[in-house]
Amino acid sequence: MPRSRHPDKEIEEAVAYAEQQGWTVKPVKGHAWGSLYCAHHDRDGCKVSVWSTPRSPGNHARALVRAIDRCPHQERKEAGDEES
Amino acid sequence: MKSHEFTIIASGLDPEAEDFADRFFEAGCDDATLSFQKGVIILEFTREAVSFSKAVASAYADVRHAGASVDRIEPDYLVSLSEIAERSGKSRQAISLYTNGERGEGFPAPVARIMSKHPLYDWEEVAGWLVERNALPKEELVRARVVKEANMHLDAAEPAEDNFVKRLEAVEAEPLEPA
Repeated sequence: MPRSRHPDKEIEEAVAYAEQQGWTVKPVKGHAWGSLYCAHHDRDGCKVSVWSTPRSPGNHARALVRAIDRCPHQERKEAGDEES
Repeated sequence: MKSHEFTIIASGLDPEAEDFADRFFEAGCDDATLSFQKGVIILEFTREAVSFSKAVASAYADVRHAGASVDRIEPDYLVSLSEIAERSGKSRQAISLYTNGERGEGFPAPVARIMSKHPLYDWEEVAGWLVERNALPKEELVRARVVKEANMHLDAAEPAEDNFVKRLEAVEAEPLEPA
């Protein structure tokens, strides 16, 4: 069954971005709309909460993308990272 | 009211507990994005407040109210050269010119991991040096000082809850002189 879409456009885009990066979306009861889990599925994996009604949807959407990009389990495109 | 961005690193709650996210939301952290990464709870705030101190201190109180303990406020003071470049919005090459003394003299020496390939600098010292050369807005130095003070408070064995915001505000109000 396809997941439900987040009612906010920017947050929905961030959730779709997570899925493109191999993350899984799980619905949650309560104030969170859902949880995002990175591809590394054990207790060291990343979990990010997506609010239904954050104080600022735009800020939340941008912070979601930063959290997804911060995942240490993702294969880095640029080998060697930034320090040189 | 201005928007202030900072991150609180917390611990003491199980991220898989059913009420994990709700606790933070109900404690007033709906202006933070909550994640569990690298074994720690991360709350990335964008908080409106009259001052940076008030923003940090109220977020600190909210996170504790949710039942978690606050371990750290980020952006922390230890920074690599890449992070200096990022925080000051300059290129890595521009920062190298500073450290090599090719552009300006007396760039602060590293303070940690001196023996490693990527030593760490004290952001407060570096920010002070950049502000003197008009290469960084003054507010960044004030923020650096407030975050450092907050982390010193957290490091203290018995943090005295009530004077936390006063301590941060005193630092925020200090006149800007080189560290």
